[in-house]
Amino acid sequence: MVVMNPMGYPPAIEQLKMAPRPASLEGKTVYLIDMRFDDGDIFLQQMQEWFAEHMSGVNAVLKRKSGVYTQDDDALFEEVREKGDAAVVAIGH
Amino acid sequence: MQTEAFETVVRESSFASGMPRQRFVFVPQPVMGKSPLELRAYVDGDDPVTGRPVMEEVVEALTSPPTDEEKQEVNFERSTPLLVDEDTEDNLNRLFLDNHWTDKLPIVLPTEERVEEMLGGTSHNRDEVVGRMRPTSTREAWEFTVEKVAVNAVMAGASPEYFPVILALASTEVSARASTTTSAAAMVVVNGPIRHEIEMNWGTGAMGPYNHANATIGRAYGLLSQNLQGGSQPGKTYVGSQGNNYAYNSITIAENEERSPWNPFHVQHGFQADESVVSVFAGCWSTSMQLGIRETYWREHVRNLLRGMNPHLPPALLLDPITARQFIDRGGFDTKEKLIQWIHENATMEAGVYWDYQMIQNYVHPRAMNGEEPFSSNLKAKDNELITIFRPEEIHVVVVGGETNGYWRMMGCNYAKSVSIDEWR
Repeated sequence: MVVMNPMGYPPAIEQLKMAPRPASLEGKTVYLIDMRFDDGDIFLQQMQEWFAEHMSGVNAVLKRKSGVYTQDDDALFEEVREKGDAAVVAIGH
Repeated sequence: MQTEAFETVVRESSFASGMPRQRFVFVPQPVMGKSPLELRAYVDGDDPVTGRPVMEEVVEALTSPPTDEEKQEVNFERSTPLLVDEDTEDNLNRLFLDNHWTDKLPIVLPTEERVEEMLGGTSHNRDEVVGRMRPTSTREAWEFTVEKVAVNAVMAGASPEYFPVILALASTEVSARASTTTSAAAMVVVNGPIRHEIEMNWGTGAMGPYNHANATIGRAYGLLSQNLQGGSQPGKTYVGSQGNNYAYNSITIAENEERSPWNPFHVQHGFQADESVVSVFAGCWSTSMQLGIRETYWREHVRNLLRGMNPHLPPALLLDPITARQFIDRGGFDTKEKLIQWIHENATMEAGVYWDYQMIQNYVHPRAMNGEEPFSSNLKAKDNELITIFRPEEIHVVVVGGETNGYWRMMGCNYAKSVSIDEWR
């Protein structure tokens, strides 16, 4: 018996290169970006405190993105590009 | 960073976004509702996926240079063959089940002959692109043709004369298999002459399971959504925590235009009465119900129903014709719009209670912070101040039912769009 495939057609994927990493976070600015999903801000506050306690040379900046979690925040992402050395985006759940 | 429950989902999603080597760190599920102390324990603890300390992984992910494996180019070649490899009927049924191409109920296997017959239900070319669909706004959209819609319509057991309705549904590009932890389903309302032509049910038992067109059009909408968007598999392309039984049929009904005292739904949305139109609602989840509209306390009864809805999912009132006429008798609502305005004004809640709802925090609070009205003004209200929770344009009324009694319900959902069925004949 021969039957037809029910799946649609996937789009092409273009591979993105990974961002370069700083050798160390000492003296660097790390953005902790809350994507605004279910108490993610409280989680990132704990991470910010961890940096203050364990890596005080790191400037851990906590920011809540604007808009709901499905939307980009272009202004914030540009700020991270300009002023940040690294970023943690959290927390999906 | 993610919780462990989403490991497969985020890796698949990152791959499709061109980031197959994206670095992730996981913490336990859930984060929601945990105290600062408990979340600090997550930070100080181990990644439940790897067993390594969370912050050690975070620092490493931010500082270690890309490895040779991470720099390696990945083969993204994907394609969808026209046919499935020839096999026995039993084996093909098993293959469709194993590939998650069904809703786990028996299907009609889509032979070339059956698909050809389905294609006879439209004048459109089989290779015409109908649209693109995705499980959620953050995932990739897959493309599909008239032929691909026909394959799924056959699987659902639909008849070729239903095919224009099914194509119109596909053309909305609104998925009936949304990947959201909400477990939302879709709802479909058909208006116009085609209701008679294909013998849909808008009377007794319209909401199921007693009509072939209602049943199979709704099922086809679900199957085409999951297959044409690239899948709907729990833990991979579907994350609805509880799932939703409405999804089997996408609550597919026709409006009882003949017994409704008001304008049909499609006329409210700019179509002519003699046009055939299908309307799609997304996010169907919460319901509340009532019998009739009582003379003395009907206002209180309806307000109680409205308070029982999640304030993020506005009500679509599904009214038996008996109830529709009672709303006119009791409240003088001689148009749907007047009833909608009353619902808007009477669906109220203390501002403090409203803003504390988790879904309002997730989806509405950010819009209020961005200055969007009326949310921004509502955010300024005092905690004990009553605010309206549903905007008039979010509230809808559809008349459906066979007048065996005046039962009616509110469906919490979001109206998405209405499209012409006639254009897909």
